[in-house]
Amino acid sequence: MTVIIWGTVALLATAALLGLVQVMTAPNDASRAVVGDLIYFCAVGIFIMIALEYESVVIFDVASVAALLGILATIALSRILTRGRR
Amino acid sequence: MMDLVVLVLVGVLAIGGSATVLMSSLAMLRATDAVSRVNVLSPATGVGMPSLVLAAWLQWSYENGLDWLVSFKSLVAIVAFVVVSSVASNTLGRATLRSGAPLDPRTEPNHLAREPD
Repeated sequence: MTVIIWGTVALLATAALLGLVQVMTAPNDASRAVVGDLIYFCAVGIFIMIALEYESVVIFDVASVAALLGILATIALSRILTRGRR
Repeated sequence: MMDLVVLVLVGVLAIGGSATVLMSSLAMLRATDAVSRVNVLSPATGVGMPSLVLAAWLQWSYENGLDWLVSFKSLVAIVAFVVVSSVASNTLGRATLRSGAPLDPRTEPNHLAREPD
């Protein structure tokens, strides 16, 4: 079981690192916004897996709140991209 | 025997989900413009994250017994990952277009490029 969990965490960490590389090399702001979103999901996934390793029931609170509220950053970024216009 | 089945199922869901997230991260590297990067994000949120939550729910309820509150929360998480992130990606895609990010010339159909008829 722990092999599965740490294997998943390793895959997600690689995805997050790739995202970080892309944030630095992204040509325009829109790409950085998208990659920021991807790194956010990798972080949520890593948290879910590590909380599963330590058998804490907070996994599902974090997952639902992260899924519901975490996307506000994307909405804010898209509003920044269009300089405040709708 | 049941242990093995649950273990394999959780493993397939967890590794598969994180492999999907990694795949969409790799695909973002190859994407040519911002709009297709927004488009490529959808496998990560549509398939990757829900299967991670499913794996966590399966493992937790196998260890600690089925609990309706936990099941409800993971259902909310799965639906939110699929629905809410798609709405946000649409918003981001629209903002990307309106902010004038360069679009791949091979984009077809591109109704926004033409004058509104």
